[in-house]
Amino acid sequence: MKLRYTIIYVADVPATVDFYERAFGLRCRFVHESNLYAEMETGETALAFAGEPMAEMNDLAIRPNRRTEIAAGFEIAFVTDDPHAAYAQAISAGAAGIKPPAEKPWGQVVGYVRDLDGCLIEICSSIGD
Amino acid sequence: MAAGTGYVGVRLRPGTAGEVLGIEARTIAQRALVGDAALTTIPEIQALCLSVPNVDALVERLTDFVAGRMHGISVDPSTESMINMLHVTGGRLPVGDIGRLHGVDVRTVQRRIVSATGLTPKQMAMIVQFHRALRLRFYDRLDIVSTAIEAGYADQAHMSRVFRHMGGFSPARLPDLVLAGFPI
Repeated sequence: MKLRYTIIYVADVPATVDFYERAFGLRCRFVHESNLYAEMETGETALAFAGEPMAEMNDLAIRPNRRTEIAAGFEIAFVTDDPHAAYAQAISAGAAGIKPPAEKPWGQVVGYVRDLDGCLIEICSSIGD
Repeated sequence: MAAGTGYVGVRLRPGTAGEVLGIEARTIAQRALVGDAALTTIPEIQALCLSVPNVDALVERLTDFVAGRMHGISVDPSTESMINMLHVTGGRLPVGDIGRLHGVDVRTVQRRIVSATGLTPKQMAMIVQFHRALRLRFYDRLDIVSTAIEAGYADQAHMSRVFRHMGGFSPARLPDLVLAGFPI
């Protein structure tokens, strides 16, 4: 099997796409006309967003992610040459700052924000840089 | 039901029935109105009862009636969001959590959902949870134990009690005529 998609259920798919474009510089690959599904251009493994009503259509039940709630136990990590600038860009695009980038003992620079729905996003340098 | 009997129906989005039928939703909640009882309670549906040449004409008339009555109906966005959240979470999210996620207290959730649907949030959550368990069990062919866990029942016995109470049948076997083949 191949890991081909990471799909996050979100409150508002177009707003999330717009946010990820502005905050993290991603490009959108595809938005379904229903506005209930979109994929970002992230290479072989697509970061995708599904509208929360899709959960019930798939016979699933989910706990919606919201900024005011405790973050769900997962994170999306973006690697960049300049975590400090990327962190600032995310904040200016509307991300909620949690932990500004700081150097780990192993030399990696790591910071955290929460996205529109409160999902944890890590912004880091690649290991060994 | 006599052999050869046919019927048509329409399923309304939660929160719209009161306005479509021109009544308070709670006045018909948990009731099945038949014949004169229905006509007395909801006089507007008299127009649907004139004879028609065939079933297709009946479907068309019902569709036109509902479409006309739906025109201009708007459910309060916050109330609609609360109802949607009951569905998204499979009826498993406590009412207090739904309130917190909408910045209102439990009583406000209660009041808004009862006003829109005629059902309390808890009653509605139980129906959503039951419907999902039905789909998992009979559409997705999940075994009984796994269905009970995924749907959020305490255990298999709990789920069986709910199935008997809400559907009149056991999770072991879906009766052939349940919902007459309509989607759950």
